[in-house]
Amino acid sequence: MELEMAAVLDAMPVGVYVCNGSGTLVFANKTAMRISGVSSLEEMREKAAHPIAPPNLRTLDGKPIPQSFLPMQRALKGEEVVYEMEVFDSETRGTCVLRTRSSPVRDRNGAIIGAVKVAIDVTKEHELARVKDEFIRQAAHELKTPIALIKATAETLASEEQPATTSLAALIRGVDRIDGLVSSLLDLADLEGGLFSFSRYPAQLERVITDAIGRFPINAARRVHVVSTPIVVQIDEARVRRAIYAVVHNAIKYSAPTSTVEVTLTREAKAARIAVRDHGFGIPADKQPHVFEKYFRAHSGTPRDAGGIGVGLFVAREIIRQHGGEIWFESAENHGSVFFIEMPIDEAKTPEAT
Amino acid sequence: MTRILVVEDDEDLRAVVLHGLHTDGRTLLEADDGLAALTLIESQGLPDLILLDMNMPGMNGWQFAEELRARGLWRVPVIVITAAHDAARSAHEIGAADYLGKPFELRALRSLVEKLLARATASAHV
Repeated sequence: MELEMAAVLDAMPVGVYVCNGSGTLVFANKTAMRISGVSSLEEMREKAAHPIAPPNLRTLDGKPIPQSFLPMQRALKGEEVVYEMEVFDSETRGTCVLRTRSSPVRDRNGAIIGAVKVAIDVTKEHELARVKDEFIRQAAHELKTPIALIKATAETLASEEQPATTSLAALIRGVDRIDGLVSSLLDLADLEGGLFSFSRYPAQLERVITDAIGRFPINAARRVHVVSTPIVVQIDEARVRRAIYAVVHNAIKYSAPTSTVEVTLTREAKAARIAVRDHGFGIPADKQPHVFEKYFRAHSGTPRDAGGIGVGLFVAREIIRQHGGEIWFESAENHGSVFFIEMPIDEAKTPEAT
Repeated sequence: MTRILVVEDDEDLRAVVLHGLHTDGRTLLEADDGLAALTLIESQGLPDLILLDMNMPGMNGWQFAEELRARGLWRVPVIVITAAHDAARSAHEIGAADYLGKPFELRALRSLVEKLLARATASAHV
């Protein structure tokens, strides 16, 4: 019976810890061992991962917690303790965040003979919540510059009798940038919620590229050289434009302000291929596998950090894949990057009529 | 001639700020990051006022302030210009003379610039 019980407890996805009346750890199930990064009860008793009397337990803001305040010690005194967050440092796993519930174990007469703690490892969820908070902050921050641009430009226009076309163009670009950021946020939300839907119509890919580049400020746009050939594709134009914008934007952001970016549109066997080549910083080899990950910014926290919200390439890849295409890159640190976007040309549906 | 240096990585915003601050008797200088600003100061001398964005690729606002201090050049008023909810904190961190949160009114920027320039002139004549 006891063996069966242990098997049941081992199969549970939550950590279970049991101590006797004197506070000595007498049982931990497999999940508990995994959470604590140990392989035996003895090891758990010895290490910082000790769930009953850990040496350096602390609150999320770093304050030490006295032993008498620990959930299992309190449970031994008859208290039911629920902690939303409990943090401990495991030698093998680093900082873990747990959601725990500790209760007294009583005999038939109601006398306390031990305590049990059930723990769910929420380290990943906690980290994700932190990343999301940071993401929202970063996104709001990114919006402030184009909003400042629009406000100051509008103020300039209001004071001029003959509004300058350059001011009007800057105003429109400011609105376009906010629109682009907000659209990326919506694309991201739709992707997360499985609501991503497309409306595809024939479009000249050449013009979509030109439109995307037209959204950059004048000097940035001047750096981009386009060589293209007329190809009509069935696409969701606004979304493909955003994907191209994201790739070109990175090329501009992560290269010297004097260097050029070459965009070439070519016709492959059954696909249209866009290559975006820059002569910039390149992507360090260890960062390359993460480039298309959500919220990932390869140069975040480095002197090359040019801002951004870390969703451009993630959303771009989803967009291109939904079109049956693919996006990939070749890059070497300090030697620049080339990003390729390829989308199939369905000759039957899109005759080159024009 | 009063000289004002605008350090901001956003090309469009930099242009509209330069346009907004333009008057006779003023020379406006621009840099798209801290390093460009530092190079400009080293070749042309300190301006009378610096407008400083904080989040920039290359050398950011904090690093620029540090470099300027290290060179003993932290002698001109600096106005921090960054997203509104970070502006006060950033200005405090680098010890800037004042700050303006994005989005700001050009009118407010102009009066802040004039106030700090007048104060600098007054203290120079004490």
